Amino acid sequence: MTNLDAVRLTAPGLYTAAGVDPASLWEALVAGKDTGRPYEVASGPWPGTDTVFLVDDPDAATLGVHRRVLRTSEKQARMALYGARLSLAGPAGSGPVGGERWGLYLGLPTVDEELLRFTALDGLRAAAGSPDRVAALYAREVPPFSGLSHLNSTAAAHISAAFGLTGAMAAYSPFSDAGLEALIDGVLSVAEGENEAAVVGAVSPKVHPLLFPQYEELGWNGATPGEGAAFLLAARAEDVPVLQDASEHGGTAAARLAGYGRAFGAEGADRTAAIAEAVHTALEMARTDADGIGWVLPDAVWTTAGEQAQRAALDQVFAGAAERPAVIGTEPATGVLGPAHPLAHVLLALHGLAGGRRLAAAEGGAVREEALPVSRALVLACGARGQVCAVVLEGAGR
Amino acid sequence: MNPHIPTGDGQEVVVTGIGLVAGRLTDPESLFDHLAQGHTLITEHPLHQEWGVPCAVSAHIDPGVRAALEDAVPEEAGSLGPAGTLAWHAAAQAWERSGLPRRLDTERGGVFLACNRMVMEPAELAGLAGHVDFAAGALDLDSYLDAGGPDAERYERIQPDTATVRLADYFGAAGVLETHADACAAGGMAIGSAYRYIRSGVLDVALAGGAESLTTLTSVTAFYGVGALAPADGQDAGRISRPFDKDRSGFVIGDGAAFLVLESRAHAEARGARILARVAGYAGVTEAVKMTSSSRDGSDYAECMRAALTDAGLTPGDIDHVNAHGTSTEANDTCEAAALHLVFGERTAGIPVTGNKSAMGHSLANSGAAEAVLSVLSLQRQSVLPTLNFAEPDEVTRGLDIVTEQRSTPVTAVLSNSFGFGGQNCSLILAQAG
Repeated sequence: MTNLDAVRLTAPGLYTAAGVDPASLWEALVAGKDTGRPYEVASGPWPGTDTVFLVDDPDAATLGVHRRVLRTSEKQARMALYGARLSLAGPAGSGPVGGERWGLYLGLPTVDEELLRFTALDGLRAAAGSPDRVAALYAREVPPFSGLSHLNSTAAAHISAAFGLTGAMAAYSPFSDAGLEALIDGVLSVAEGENEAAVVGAVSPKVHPLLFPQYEELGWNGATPGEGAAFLLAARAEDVPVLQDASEHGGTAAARLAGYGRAFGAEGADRTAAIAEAVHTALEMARTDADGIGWVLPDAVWTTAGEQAQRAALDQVFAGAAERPAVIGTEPATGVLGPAHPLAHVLLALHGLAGGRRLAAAEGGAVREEALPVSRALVLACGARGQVCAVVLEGAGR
Repeated sequence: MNPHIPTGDGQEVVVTGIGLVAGRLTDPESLFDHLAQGHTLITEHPLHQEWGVPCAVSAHIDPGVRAALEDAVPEEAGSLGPAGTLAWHAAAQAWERSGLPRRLDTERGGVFLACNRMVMEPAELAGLAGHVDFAAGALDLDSYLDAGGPDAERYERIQPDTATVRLADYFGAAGVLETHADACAAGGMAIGSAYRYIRSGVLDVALAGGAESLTTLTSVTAFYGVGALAPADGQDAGRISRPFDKDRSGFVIGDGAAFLVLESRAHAEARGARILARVAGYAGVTEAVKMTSSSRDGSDYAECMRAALTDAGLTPGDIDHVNAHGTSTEANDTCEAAALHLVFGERTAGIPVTGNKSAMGHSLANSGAAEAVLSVLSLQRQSVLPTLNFAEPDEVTRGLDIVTEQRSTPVTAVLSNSFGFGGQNCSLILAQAG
């Protein structure tokens, strides 16, 4: 018995190109549904794809907020708020949500974008070389409220305000490890009694023309970007019965974080070793080994080096396993979701654990559903710099 | 790494090293002395002044100092951006002063950095503009990249986690890596998170702090646009930031970096380290009021301060100095002053309060870390720093003991506050080493 046993993961809230719950994503993957959409803001043959995995920008009515909230937020924050709303819909139907013991843990990405509207860039080009004209252009054209909307913490502010969360909080940035950092610290905050419940979530970067060169310069492997948000609730086990309605949203009230590991390896063999080390640590904490994992959900790593390292590390870890677990994630239906990706995997894994099912690769790139042989799943996050987090999720029985 | 499941055993957390860069000053003691003498770091920003920017004052890093710091970054650290360079200097200074070996090389060290995002500045955007088809509203990425695109290392340098991993790699402290994005409270929250990891027994050592370099045209314009910055209006630059004064009108933006080396007392004592102070308590909470203001009655900020006191096992009567968030905005100082009245009641008038942002400006994610470093020095020197430009309180700030000149006074426990836009609140309690 560890103090992690006292915490349950519940109330999945998932917003991706495949839909608004884990079941929709599951079905989209199995059906091989095309969830991409055309993306024409970036012209020319590069980046080699004309579709990405977009989601609709939630409006005020969808978010359940006054329309003025939209002025102090950008799409990234709105996706996060919608993810939180989807997550808390179940708990809110069963009892009060929020209060001083409800915390918030978030993984937040950054897009190094232009603060000026694209339409103002022509004026900027004309003013280049004349700093006073540039400053005057900025004074006219920088969107109102951007001093608030572009803060990387705005998502936290709007979620707190919408749901009355006033407990312990933290927000991490900017890559996929941030999503699992939020999960680990959120669960620990409940395990240690700092919070009674913690809303844990992460959001993808919004798909923006300047996201492509950002990825390119960081070693992009051509993976298709996607948008979305993934949220859940970490709650004390004794409180979970009041949250049972969450299962109607495709999750389970009886899953838990059984183990976690972190490591760091900047590049090459060090990165491979770090990923393997983080997995071994998580397995050890979960009191299991490679044979005790039924499903691996690897990170949607978008750098070539990271992708190779993750593959090599998983080969090492599961080399001696009696039966190699299925290794598959959501990327075909969601694209790469940044910090939200590992949390989307957590939600998909919880859905599988609830039904005793998993996804596996089939011939021709298809995805099939099959029985989950062991009630544990491994989820990985491999940050672009070599930061690694691994978590083991376990069906926990009531 | 091989983390422990936190046990709540309650390791005592101590400070064994501090480092800082602000303005033209590159160590904590120089800054403390500078501020103690009533001097400011806030000056006219020469470029912004020339360009006619409405708020052309800031506590920016002296260009000569920045160049020297860039030159001093070792090759192994790789290329660092503006904030990363400052972070490196402050962190390396704190590490060296702690007496820890050059590399820790255990799984029980970590790095916790607070840093906000950056956005593209005019020169970079002008290069991009030539590749936008304004009629179609499309960016020709191919031609942009063929023309050289952004600086090849730009994205790597400016990502907020770059300095986190470089520091961890260089000092061999990669057990837990966190890059905090908690707005203006992030510096305090990074320290608080490190404190919790050491207290629970997961880590022995942590390098925790913040860095910010946002005295740029884009950031100044954006913050001015939401009315957060004080208008210069031809005033003497050093007199614009005036926390808790009735004529306060907004904050002055600043740059800087500050780091602390935190250790478990057992680890520090085992290696004979000099213990500078203790991190006695911490609270980092969210709230639910609005984007630009907490509850005007101070109740939310008060809740955060009380939570930190509870965490420390202290009462309000144990606090003898407050290092306030004190941004000089009407809303923040009103909420914080009201909260101090709520928490300290009749004792309020007897607790010296300092607002360092009166002299240092507001360095956003870094501010909580810089103020924690200065609080450590207040504990060591038994001296509290002045709040510049405080002349007269308003109805709410009345009754606070706003320190206006350096004051020698017993300092055993400091409450250091950081409150971010949107209600991301943090209170740290730093105490004498014992």
